[in-house]
Amino acid sequence: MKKSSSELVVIGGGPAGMGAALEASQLGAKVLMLERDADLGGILQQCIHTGFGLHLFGEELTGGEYAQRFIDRVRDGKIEVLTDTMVTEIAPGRVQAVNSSGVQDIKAGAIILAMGCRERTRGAINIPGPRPAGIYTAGAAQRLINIQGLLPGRRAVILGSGDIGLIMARRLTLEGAKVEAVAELMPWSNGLARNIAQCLDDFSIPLLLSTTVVQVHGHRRLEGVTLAQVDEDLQPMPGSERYMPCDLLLLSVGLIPENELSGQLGLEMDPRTGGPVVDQFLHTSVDGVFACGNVLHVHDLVDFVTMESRRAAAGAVQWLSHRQPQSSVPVRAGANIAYIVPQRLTPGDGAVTLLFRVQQPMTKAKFTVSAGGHCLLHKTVPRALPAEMVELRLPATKMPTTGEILIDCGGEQR
Amino acid sequence: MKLTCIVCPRGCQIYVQGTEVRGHACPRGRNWALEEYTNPKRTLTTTVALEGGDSTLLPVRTQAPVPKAKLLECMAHANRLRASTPITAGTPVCTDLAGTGVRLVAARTVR
Repeated sequence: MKKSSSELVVIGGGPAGMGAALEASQLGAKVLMLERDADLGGILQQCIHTGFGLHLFGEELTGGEYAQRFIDRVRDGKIEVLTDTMVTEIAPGRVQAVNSSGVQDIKAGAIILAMGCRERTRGAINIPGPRPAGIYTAGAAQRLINIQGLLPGRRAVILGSGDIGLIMARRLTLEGAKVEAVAELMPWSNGLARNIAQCLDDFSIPLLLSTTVVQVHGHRRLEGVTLAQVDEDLQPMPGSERYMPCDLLLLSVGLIPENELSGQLGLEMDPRTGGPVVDQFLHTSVDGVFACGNVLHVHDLVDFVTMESRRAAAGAVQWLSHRQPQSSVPVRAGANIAYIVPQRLTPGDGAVTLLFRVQQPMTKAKFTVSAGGHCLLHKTVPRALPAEMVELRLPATKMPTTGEILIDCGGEQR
Repeated sequence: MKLTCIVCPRGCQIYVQGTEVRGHACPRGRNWALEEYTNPKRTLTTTVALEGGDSTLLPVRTQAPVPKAKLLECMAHANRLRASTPITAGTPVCTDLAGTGVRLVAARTVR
């Protein structure tokens, strides 16, 4: 076993890991980054479409171009990078990883978790029927098409209207496949409005809301699916079934933060985000362990991942120099709020970024942040959608030191 | 005509009638809507075959948006193209994609 030590170990070399490593290095920390793939960049490398970087760079980059801007700086900097290296065990202050030179035992002053997320699969949504070839998650199909040059089918149905599903509808169409429909269980789409416009409407692909797949057909190869409309309780309505022939079913049915390692650390988790509970410094419940990016909560845009990773790096570097005990004020989700990050605040100087999502689409949404019945701040926006993260800044002067903070959303349901 | 703006993730609902534009939140949205009304264009991203490296495909993008109606012709042209390593991001793999006058350029550096 090879033993080494590093001031700060970053796990994951995607946008969150690279953003955190660069920021921490700039703040003077000695950083080691571990990545299990052969290249840095994470899932961005298979996202060949544009739309990345508008907030951070003011231009529309492809996923690969966005990643490259960070890769160049990581490779030029003082950051130590180990690719093809898989973390197998983790404990506070210690990381064990495996690569071609054997087992690495690394003592870590602080750890930043940046492992990203994975896709929900057929098993997560219990589609009944046989198990023929031709059923993929949207991201797996994206990798087959964009990296390996393989077209997984010629006549497709896509279940789920999140952005990956919409992007794949366009990609399949451009590569010569026919996309029969995108079906969405909810009465609204979880994708960005512009992706519905430029990925579906541009190619006249129907978006079937309140619709799901109730049966798959075919034995060796997928032959078709049965779609059905669902009622208000999301249950399929008898009599609404219709058969749609296809040889490809793509599932774009949500992402789950990849927290297998977090379990080993015994981090307090938030069942609503699927990620660890953190304070505004992205500090988890275990001293010296920080988290950022999709491992913490699933983001809409990579730009937001990068911004969050910088806050995690600043938090970790600050913690390395003065290890103050955490005392915290819980932040609770009130009416029509699906989740909030951070879930607790450690009193300190500096404004706090609160990120959250609504549960249902709202118009004239009024967000109120309050403590002990006193309103700390409020903001009204013309519309709020579950697919679009809301950001509020709580100034340092308004931060309560005791009690709890409540965020809720009033307005009109759409 | 009612349009969903694709300039940024905000996705404004824009209404265009003649040269009158409503609902946009920024000047880029206004310009986009006027162009969308008269001559809709899209940036095309795809891959072309790559010879000589570990990867078999090179991601590429059009240097400027191409007419929406010509997207499939552009794809047909791109599918016939081949690039070879080493190639630097930004290098053209085609100087006139499907008669649009627009360059198709590498979106990744492959050594």
